[in-house]
Amino acid sequence: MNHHEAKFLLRARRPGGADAKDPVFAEALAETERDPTLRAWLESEAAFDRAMAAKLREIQPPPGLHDAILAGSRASQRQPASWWKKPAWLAVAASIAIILTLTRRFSGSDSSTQAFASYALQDLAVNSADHANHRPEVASLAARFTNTSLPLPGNVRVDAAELRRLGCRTLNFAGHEVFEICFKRDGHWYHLYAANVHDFSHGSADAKALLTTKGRISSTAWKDGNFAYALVTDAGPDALRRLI
Amino acid sequence: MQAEAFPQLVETYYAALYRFALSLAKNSSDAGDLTQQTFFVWATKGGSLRDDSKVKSWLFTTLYREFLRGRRRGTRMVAIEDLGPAEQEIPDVETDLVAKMDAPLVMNALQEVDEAFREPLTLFYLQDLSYLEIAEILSIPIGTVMSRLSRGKAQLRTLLAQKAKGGRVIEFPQQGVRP
Repeated sequence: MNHHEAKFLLRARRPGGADAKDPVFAEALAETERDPTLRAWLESEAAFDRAMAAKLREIQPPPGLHDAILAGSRASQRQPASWWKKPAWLAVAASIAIILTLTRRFSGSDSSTQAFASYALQDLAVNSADHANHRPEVASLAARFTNTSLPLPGNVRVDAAELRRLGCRTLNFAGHEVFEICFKRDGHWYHLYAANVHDFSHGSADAKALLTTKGRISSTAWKDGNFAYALVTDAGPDALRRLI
Repeated sequence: MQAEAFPQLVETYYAALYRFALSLAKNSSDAGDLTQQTFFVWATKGGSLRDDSKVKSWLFTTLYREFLRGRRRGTRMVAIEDLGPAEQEIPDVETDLVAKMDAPLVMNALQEVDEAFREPLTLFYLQDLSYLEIAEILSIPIGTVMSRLSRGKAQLRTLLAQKAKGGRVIEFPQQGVRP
């Protein structure tokens, strides 16, 4: 084994002892024992790899991502097959679904719209830096929401094809396409998230808006016959209430 | 894996998955979306995985597939064969230099490495994955992983050296656009 072959293999060896028992590296490592030049190269390579790995570990996920993942998972209302496919759990799930349906009929809201509001809230919290990016193509769309009659629930009209054509930002909520429209009203920024209402586990229309606040960000969600909407702002709950 | 273990699963892997996603997607918004989507796929399909030791590979594989699904591969792959022997192109980058650089600048250099090399290189530097697991995640032969690690390191060192000298920093386009 020459130097080139030994280096080629050893570049795939993780620094530390993680690959200590891998026989693929044995011959190349034995070569480093015999050759001081190669040994020095390996030490330098390992030090470089350790430094790179340490730098990568310094990159932290955005605050709120962890919570957003857990909230999104709860919202999906689907659990790992290893337990939820069992008949007993299916029976329990069916019972819960009936209870939730009955509860929703009387409360006028449901868990999926609430989860949608939480998702939108988390998105604004996690990705707040991106909200300065506004495409000119959608300026007229944003202006429409600036001037829409209040309350927004009942007066919002969006068309998925138009949103796609204009290049609205799209997100993924529990596997479903979500559009986001940012608009300014009375000096405050608002962010409207819209998803096909049929993508939701509960397809009932006209669910009432509920308001959720976390820190400086407030959100609410409602449905009409075509879309589920979540409206979010960091201008405070009163600013949100004025629109709903 | 039981449902109550899901938060623990997220806690254990979400940061490493996010870092991998960030190196692929090149912006934090898309990286966050990819990470979320990975755990959503787990919540819907991952429970059928019987071997707990495969969870880590499964998550990284899923994230990588979701990334590929989200966009078509361009022509950057063509550049792979143009690099020439890796051995001839590795500049000597002092380890201390890397240690002194800001993490975002180092990540920026990593993001500029050709995608085919960047994928195994990032997984390698996450240090939780062996070259065998990287081959499995990326669905490429073991020899190809080794070759790409070797060439990827060469390219990375070149980019780090440029950045250390105050070279041009290329801004990457944002994939998600808000109105």
